[in-house]
Amino acid sequence: MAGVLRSSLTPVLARGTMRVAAVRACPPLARTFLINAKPTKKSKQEEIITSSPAQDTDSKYRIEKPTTAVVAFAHRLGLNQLKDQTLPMRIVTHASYERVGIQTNERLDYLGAKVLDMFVLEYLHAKYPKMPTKMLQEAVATYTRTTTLAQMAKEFGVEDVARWTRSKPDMEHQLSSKTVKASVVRAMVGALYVDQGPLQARAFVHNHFLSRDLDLVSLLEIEEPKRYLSFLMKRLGRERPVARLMSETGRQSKAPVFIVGVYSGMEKIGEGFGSSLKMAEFRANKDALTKYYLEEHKDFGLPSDVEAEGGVYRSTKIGDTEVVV
Amino acid sequence: MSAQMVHPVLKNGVGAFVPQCRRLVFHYCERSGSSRGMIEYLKKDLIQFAKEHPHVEVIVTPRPSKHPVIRGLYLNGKDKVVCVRNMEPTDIAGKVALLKESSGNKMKTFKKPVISTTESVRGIWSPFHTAPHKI
Repeated sequence: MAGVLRSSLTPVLARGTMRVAAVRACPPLARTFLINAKPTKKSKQEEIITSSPAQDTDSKYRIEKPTTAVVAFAHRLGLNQLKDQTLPMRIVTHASYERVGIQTNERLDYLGAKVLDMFVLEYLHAKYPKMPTKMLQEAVATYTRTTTLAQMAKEFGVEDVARWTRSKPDMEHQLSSKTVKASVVRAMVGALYVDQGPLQARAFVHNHFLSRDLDLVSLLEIEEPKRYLSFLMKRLGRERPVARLMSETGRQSKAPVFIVGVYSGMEKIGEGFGSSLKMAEFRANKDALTKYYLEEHKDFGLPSDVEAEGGVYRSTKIGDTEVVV
Repeated sequence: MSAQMVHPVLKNGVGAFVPQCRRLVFHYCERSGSSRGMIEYLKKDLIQFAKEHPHVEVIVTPRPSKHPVIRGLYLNGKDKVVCVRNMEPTDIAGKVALLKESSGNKMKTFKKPVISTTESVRGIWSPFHTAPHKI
């Protein structure tokens, strides 16, 4: 682990470029890159890296020694547990980084994309069995789309380790850094899946992706909640919803507040506020639908639990299909 | 379609904790007296520190004719610079720990006792959901 330390404690003056780079006031990112340039410049160490069966290096691809930045990056995100220590360098190398003998992350990216989708989906599906399918798709997409992954990558510090080429002569448009960053994040998931197995990959997804705060209520898009709710109550065989004014204030004033509750028989199924009666009723109906569709299960097993030793499959519930309006 | 795209917001430590300090750069001068403590720290304690914190990239570079300085770089893109001139190795170790544990954000005073994304456990009081006072 002392490999992370790079020093030049000898009294020999550092090369002009290195010293000047350290002293000159240039943007931090550029400066750190210059310090970090070509770590194996002086060392004549042999590149002895153990490679696991996961990686087949029978071609001319050379085994790269990971840079200090990549080693630190791997430790930061728990990728140091990977058995194959050539994987971190591979993860951070985008396909556009075309150098002879350098492995890129395309395969891991693709694998990781599917693995990520799967684990996010099974979790949300098990947690919200009644969620409408379209909303579930949107929720999964929110966790796995490129913009989100690029933001996550920024928080992981991928920008400083990713290796890619912005543009080549024959390309029509430049490669966006968002695409590259997202590919690195997906490649991380893929690498864990390939090297450590599905359980470790799942733990990574749960810890880094699903621990994030997401307000799902905003994803429920219903234009006419009153109509929808009445159809839903009919389908459920319950009494038709009736909106009742529960309390109000300031009706004739500039800032009225109305509290409306929606009742199915004697049971209140939703409540809403508004500065007009109509708005309050709208919110109340919306609240009722939210309470029904976003019903959360706290104690659930995931289908991928069988991957664990002695894991027993617990079947998940599926809610009814959405009401036809 | 929602007007604004929602993003899942990071809550560092809820699932996994991502340490925010990514790099520490140590500058020292070979000849100046103010770097004496720094050089002793680099020889004695730094390797142990680097071993204990493999997520922090440690870089040591001579910076002649300048005071010794430690620069911490963080995942939010910001950096913190601490001058450690004329400091003893123990004090320098304290500064290193300070930089390592920082998030990179500027120091600010927190006026409120609790900062949270959730409002409250029991819900915010509402005048419309309380029984009126009866004598």
